[in-house]
Amino acid sequence: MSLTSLMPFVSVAIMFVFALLVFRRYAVRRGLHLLLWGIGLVMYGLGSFAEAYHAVAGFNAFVFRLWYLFGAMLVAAWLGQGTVYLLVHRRIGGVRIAHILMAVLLLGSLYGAFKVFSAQLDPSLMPGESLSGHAIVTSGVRILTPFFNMYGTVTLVGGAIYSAFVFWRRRILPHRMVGNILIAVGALAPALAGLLSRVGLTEFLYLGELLGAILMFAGFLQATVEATEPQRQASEVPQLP
Amino acid sequence: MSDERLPPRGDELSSWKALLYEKGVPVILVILTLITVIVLLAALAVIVGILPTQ
Repeated sequence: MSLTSLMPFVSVAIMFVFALLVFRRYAVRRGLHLLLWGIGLVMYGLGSFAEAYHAVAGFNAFVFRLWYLFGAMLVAAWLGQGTVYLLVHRRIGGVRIAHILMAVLLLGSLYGAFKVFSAQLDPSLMPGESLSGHAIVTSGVRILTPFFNMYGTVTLVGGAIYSAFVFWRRRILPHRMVGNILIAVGALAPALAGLLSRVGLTEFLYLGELLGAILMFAGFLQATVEATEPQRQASEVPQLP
Repeated sequence: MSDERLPPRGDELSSWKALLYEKGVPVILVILTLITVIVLLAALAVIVGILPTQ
């Protein structure tokens, strides 16, 4: 087994511990953003689990579909939706914009799941040993992915950069500012790896996902360090996570 | 007077940390924003068919 094939195992372990901590935080504090982040992290873990399974047992159609749906298509958008719930409080016609976007994301996710699970697969079309969307033969499936990922990148990375900027500008909670920078870098790592994968450099995909898992977890731990009383009093701005 | 040049409240930072905070953070945030824009443009390129889908 190559070093690349071992990386998803580490990502799985990190992501499920990460998800557990976020769900525990949700159980104590509530907040839909924590619930959405927890679900997104489980999706990340499922994607990494599928990669680890593929490394051990070879191609399995059901596991591949799980990987593509959760690991390639939905994960960024659902994590980003958590950030939307945290930062977007405006309403249109009395309805929270975040709820409207959630409804669109849910419908889109159901449609994506239907397309992925009804698609024809040909694993011989995958260029390397890593899982790749090239195995999906049916048209109209892989083209959905960039729409989800654009939404996820704008909301998750954009939200983290925005929050870090707010903390920096107001000179408050530096640990949360650092945490948000780590989360932004961590979220960009798999996005960049996906970009490299598209131009044929598939060997960077698992590395990008592992770096993303490590950096986002480090960012979460950094951002959730308890603030001192003066810091808490000075803090009245949106916070991630 | 704006408080934009004051050091972070509640933290005693050494001078190099304060410099990093003042100058380094905005540079990092600008770089991250640029990378984000590149990733978004790449996703757009996939949608219009310039790049292959993943």
